[in-house]
Amino acid sequence: MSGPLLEARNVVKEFPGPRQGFLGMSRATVHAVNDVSFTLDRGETLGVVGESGCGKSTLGRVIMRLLPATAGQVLLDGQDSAALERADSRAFRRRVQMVFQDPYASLNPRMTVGEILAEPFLVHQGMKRSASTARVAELLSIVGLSPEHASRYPHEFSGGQRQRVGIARALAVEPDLIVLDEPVSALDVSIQAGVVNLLRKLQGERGMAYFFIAHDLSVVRHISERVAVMYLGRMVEIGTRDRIYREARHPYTRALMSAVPIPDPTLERQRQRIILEGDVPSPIDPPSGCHFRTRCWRATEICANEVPPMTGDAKHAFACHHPVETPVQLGESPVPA
Amino acid sequence: MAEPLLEVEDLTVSFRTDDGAVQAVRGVNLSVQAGEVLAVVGESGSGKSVTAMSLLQLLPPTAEITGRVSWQGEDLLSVPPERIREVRGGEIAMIFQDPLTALNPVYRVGDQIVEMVLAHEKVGRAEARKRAIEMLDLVGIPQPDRRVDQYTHEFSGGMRQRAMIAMALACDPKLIIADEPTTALDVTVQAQVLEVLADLAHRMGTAVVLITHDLGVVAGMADQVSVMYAGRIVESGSVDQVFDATGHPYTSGLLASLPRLDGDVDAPLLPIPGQPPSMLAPPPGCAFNPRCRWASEEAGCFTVLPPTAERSPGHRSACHRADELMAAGLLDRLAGAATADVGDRGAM
Amino acid sequence: MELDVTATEADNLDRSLAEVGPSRSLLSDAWRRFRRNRLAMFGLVLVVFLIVVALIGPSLVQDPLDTGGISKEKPTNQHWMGTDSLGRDVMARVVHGIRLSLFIGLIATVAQTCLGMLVGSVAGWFRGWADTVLMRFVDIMLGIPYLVLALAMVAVMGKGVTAVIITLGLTAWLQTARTVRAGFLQVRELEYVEAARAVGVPTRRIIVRHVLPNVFQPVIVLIAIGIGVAILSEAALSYLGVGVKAPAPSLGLMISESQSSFTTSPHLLFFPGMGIVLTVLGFMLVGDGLRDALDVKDV
Repeated sequence: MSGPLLEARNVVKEFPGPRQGFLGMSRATVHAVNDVSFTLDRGETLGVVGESGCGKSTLGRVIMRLLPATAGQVLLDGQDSAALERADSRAFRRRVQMVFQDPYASLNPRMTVGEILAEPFLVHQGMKRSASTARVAELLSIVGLSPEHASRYPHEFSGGQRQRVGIARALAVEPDLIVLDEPVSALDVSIQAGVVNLLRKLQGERGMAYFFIAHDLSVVRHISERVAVMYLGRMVEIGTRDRIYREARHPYTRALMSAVPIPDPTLERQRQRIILEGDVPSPIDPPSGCHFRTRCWRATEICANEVPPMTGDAKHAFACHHPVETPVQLGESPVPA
Repeated sequence: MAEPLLEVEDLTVSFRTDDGAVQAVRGVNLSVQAGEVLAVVGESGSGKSVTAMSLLQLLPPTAEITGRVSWQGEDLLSVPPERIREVRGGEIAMIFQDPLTALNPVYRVGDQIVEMVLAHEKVGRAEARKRAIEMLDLVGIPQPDRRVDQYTHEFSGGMRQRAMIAMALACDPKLIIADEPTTALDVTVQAQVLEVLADLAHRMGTAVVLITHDLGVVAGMADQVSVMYAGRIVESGSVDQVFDATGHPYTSGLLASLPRLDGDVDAPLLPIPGQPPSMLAPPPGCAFNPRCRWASEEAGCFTVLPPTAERSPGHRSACHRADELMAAGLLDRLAGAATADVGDRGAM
Repeated sequence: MELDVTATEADNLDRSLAEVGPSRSLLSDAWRRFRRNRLAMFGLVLVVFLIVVALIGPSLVQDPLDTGGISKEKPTNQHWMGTDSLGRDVMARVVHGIRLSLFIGLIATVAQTCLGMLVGSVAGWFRGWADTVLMRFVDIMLGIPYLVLALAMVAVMGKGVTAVIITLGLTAWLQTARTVRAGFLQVRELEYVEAARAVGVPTRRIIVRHVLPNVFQPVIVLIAIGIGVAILSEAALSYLGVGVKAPAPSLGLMISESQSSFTTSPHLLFFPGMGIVLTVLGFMLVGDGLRDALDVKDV
């Protein structure tokens, strides 16, 4: 089949915000995802990076159809996913699965690991628990756990082991796409690496696509073919891994990259960090024009008046009126002193 | 070297639980010089936070603490409670991961700093308020004279953390203990807060004990590093020694497992196999032995507790095979290169 | 000695991934905590004893309605707890009274729990207007004193056990509904519920398998305490004359009847009084023990 596996077209997601005004009669709107478009090919990994409140998790849930989009479309193999999900919710869920951030919250504490993993087989294939035992055992061994663990409860496992159970659950239906919402952020570093390697290995063997959400540019670098950067609901830059890490053009991407600490004291001493002023503004009342302009050292008048359009090609596109021209250097900063 | 500001000797902390005693800290030695940033690094359950909390006796009564915590020559573990209260906030200040545990939501931020100053110093209220504004300004909070009268809910996450640092600094402490001060923050805000902290430490000569799990933060901020595993310090030294001439397989494993912005992207990350041990029954010998790829019977890794030995001046580690492994270059920091190297030879 | 391992080998070598501690279910943990609580264990022994009394007691004692004895006799070898004004055996009446109390407490609590869970689940799962309507109704009901409700029930149905059970059920479900609703609101936002939706689990199964078991702990505590409360309320209603109809052997009714001759025949008050105290105490202690053992905070 030609065409991308997944395509997002001008996706918008708004939530009702806190009540305001006289007796709380009016309601503010939280602009969580604002006009986001991208494509994801079969077997490809798109890393989506941004800080809290940038809308990356909301976007993941819109793709998953756990949340309806306010506007715009998400196409799966060219077909509108909202329509697909309405027509046959289970068929849709067989194709798109999700791994959650918190390995402690994402497994039901009152179900054994075996019951948790048997649930997809029950729901999608009507398999009774006894019939799916072999499949559950197979899933457990695929993610590096032992089949005997099926009778244990989630609280008996460590964070890394539980996250493997979460991955096994997503694999059960053999999906085409897995949305991974910060799957390693809650894990200790020595455990993280094993889970990242497992995800890479599984993708190599099974060829599913990953929509990999993270707040950490360094993890994404190790798993993604392409990387997208989000800020306050908008996608500000997207491109192949090499282009983003070597030639990121958007000031926010540069600041984000510059803020990531590198475990190398010599390098750290040389680095001139881009320290952004202030915090991310509220998504209830985002700045006009470019959302990043309030913290951007390159902002001018045009940034307040016009939303910068996404420009570029399939390999690299960014939305900025004053893109940074120099290549990324970890040792020195593009900001004039 | 000058007399250390804080010296911890053979600190142990255990907690009584239903299942037996959890030995969270098992003989920790630390020493902090004035004006120095000491990072205590470890993963969850390594005992790093318990160590920090025990210094100021902030642990629940189920904790049994032994050892010596010598603060400018005075043993903090045996002084009366009034003296501890005096030290807390006055001479040693603490910064927590979650600012909301330290800032009271029903008081104005400024008033909390004022109270802190009044509790520790003989100054008037007006003077204390002036100090509060000064401190908020110092940590980079915009419009400090307006912000001083606001409540914590009017502050964003990064600003709360900075307000807590301001509060910690208000009495001009000699030492700040910062327990995962930036873990809850976004990276760009983390960069701001760390810069504030590092800048203040250097400008005001305040010593900092930085408790963290993030080796990147350590590399950027610390002068000295102590790496904790299973309640013990397995390696300590200057930041360059620990990162560039690593002397313990655990430290080396941590560095190799880290995804980084530099280095080879296509090389797989090297996880440390297994899980951290249960502190109810830590393994005999070296606690890291079940996860160590170099653990050996002959060296005694499974039976004998490895002694802490000096590898170079000021650089110590507790590993039976450290000298041998270091000489062979097998603990090298250059994780990317080492990985590629190992990958090639791994085909054997 | 081998010094190098590749990444993939290291992953395969990772045998300790397959290691978990000894199996311990949440239930056995809770039972361990419960067992250590002496008061709770005392309550449990009491409850078990009373249940045994209620089950086999009636076949061992005399006929509680037999008026053949001497009026208001003090405890004797024949009547261990004496007789009442009509010459009936007090012990028989107390034993039957406990049986009736437990029966009423149990049925009323089962009924109110079902109703409360249903309403609470609907309100907490669907939220929106269903929640608003149901919870405002609960608020209004909470405003009506249960005595007024009891009088209304008696007016409609006449005195009797059924009216008492319905009265108790109708007042007690409110707390259960609120607790279950609060639990639903909390649990439905948890990641594992979202994960179940992501897997494609149908809504009904999500509620039954993923949400309900996780809001059930406070309900268990409420059930234990609820039985105690129901027994006490039954006694109060019967004492006030809007409960169980004489000559049925109800503890509350017996106390009410004993009032006129309290000074001369204290045993008529003491034994049924003890019956109520021990029954209620037993369930309350078990409820408190469960609360601690299950670590429920919001009841």
